[in-house]
Amino acid sequence: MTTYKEIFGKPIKVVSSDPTDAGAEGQVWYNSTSGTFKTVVSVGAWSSSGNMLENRQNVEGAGTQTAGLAIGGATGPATPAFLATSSEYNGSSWSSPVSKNVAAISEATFGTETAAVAAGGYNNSGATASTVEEYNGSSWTAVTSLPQATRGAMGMGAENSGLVVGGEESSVLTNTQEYNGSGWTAGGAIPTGVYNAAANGTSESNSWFAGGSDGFKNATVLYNGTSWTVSGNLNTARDQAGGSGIQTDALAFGGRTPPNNPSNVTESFNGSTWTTSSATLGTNAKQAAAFGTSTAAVFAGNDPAAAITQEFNFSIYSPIAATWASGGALSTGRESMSSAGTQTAALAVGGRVGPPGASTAVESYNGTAMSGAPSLNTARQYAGGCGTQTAAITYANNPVSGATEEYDGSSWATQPNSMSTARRSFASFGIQTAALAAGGTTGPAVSSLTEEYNGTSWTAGGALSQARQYYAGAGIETSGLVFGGSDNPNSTKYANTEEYGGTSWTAGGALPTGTSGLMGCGATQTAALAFGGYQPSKVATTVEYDGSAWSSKPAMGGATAEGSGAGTNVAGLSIGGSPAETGVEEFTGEIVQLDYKTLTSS
Amino acid sequence: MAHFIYGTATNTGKGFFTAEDRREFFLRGFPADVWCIGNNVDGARWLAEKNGVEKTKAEAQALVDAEITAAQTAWDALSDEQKALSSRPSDITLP
Repeated sequence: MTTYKEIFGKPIKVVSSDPTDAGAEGQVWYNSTSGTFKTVVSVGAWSSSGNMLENRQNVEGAGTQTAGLAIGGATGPATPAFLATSSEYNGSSWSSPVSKNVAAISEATFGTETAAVAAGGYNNSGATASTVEEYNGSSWTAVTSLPQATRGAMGMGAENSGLVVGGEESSVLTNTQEYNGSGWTAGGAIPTGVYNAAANGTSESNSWFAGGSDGFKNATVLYNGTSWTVSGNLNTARDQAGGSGIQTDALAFGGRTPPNNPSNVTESFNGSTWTTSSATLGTNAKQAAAFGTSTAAVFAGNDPAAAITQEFNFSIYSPIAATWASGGALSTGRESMSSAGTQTAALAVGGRVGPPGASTAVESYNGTAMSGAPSLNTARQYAGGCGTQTAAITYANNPVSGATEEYDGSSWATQPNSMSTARRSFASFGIQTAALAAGGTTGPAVSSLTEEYNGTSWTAGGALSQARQYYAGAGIETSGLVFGGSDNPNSTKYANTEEYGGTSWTAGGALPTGTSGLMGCGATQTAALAFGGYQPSKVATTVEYDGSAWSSKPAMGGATAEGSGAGTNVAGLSIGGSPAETGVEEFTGEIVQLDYKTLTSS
Repeated sequence: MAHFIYGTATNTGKGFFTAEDRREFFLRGFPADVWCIGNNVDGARWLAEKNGVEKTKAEAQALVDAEITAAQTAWDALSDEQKALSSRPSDITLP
């Protein structure tokens, strides 16, 4: 490689394209293509993440950015119901709530996602609580109560090395209550009574808190396992802020500043001094669940109650958000067709083209444009299909049918064996030699029956728990799923997901909203997209499934229903829609790349 | 040229605003799904990509005011005991 030093006498590399590996951090190079000097440095920033499944305020947190918990809280001032639940966060989405024993707000919480403690708080009986619960990753168990009831106290440390500090009861408290995983003992008192401070730590001896009430404090106090020492002040005095990290490397963010203003300010702490960060919360927030480290933190919820989640990341990487973009349009507008293939090699097969109805037309997509492909032998609508652009299958019809056709890349061939149960408006997924048809309408009734195709004949598969029609599926025969749909006559919309392992169906995480006429795509049971549909109005909503829960993704360019989906959760395709639309949209998942900085002379 | 543009857009969660967005332009969220956005090409593109609806500052302020007023009304209706658990939502003036 030619170096900048060889040309100009300076030791800077000359490259035609930017390096893509993490080793570029801290280097400076000259990009001869763009004619610019560039580098990669770590920069902190807050970004949005998957919304919680319910609005929460006065909620507490524990764990890390990729394995965290939101614990308790309330649903808000208009309906101030205290929540007796927690929810797990995996770095992008939240799981369905898990029941706690006590409904409370402003508990002292600490620990990890699989070993957390929630202590005290203000319970729904109107009392300051001394109750304590432990979470093991699946359920909450009541354990030894606090010696001193407290609300708004700071929780820090680990399940077997934790602290509950300060808070309020009849007065503001200075107590430190140490927890060893089974019982409580008194620790060193804090210099001044404090509640609602930013706090964190992974053990008693690296715990800290800063700011808090009464009033708007700015002092930072550090624990060594025995006693507390006052350290540097926050630059912005506040209470109700979030804290992450340990006492030598921490963050404080958000909270409330005088007289009553939610803050977006983030400060970083090095063990002695706080420095205001250029990174600010996207939405000013207070009384939210805070957890994580100084380089990977989470602040979830707000006051008034909200479902928002904000993430802080200090990284050399900069994700490019997922997005939908318009693709090449169909020549023939259509709805309720089947499809096969990928985002760059797909088929749109048959479908309803408006009066006179079913079509034999097939179009082929190359990632840019649609072109004509060999026609079906039988005009079909409300059919299912799957496979690839050169090895596809389509089956069923309206009026209900079990007839099957296979495509080899050059022509369609009607198969001698049809499905045992004629149907339409069902979910389908798989490949040409291992395809599945699930549920749908079998006449007047909505069915739960499924059938599997092995490339030659159809056999019965496991029955769905929920009979349904007008829904979608994704994956392969041994790792598939179906989601959404409706009853007959389409009066109830379903949100439930069912997963198929090749033999039987099990319940998966529910869609955020009951939806019929939606589209789906995805390669496996743990990586799928659902988009569009009726809720009951036509929507552009997109959600992604990770094997346990659905999380929000950017909406489609336009509200669409009764089209067809192809591809994967990171390279998906939406084709057509009702009424007989020609539109095609392409989904590209989040891309993580180095965050290049261009150096300038000014 | 004005420093900010204003608009409404629904926070859809992850990817709604990214770390890269935050570095490219000013962005701050307010009640009623109101967003104050740095007035540059990247900011304007962000609002468009989020299916946002651009508002005048007065329109955006009115939306925020209405949301805050509703939240204040809800808070005022709480019992004294419940009021002690959170503070009355304060008025917000858009930058």
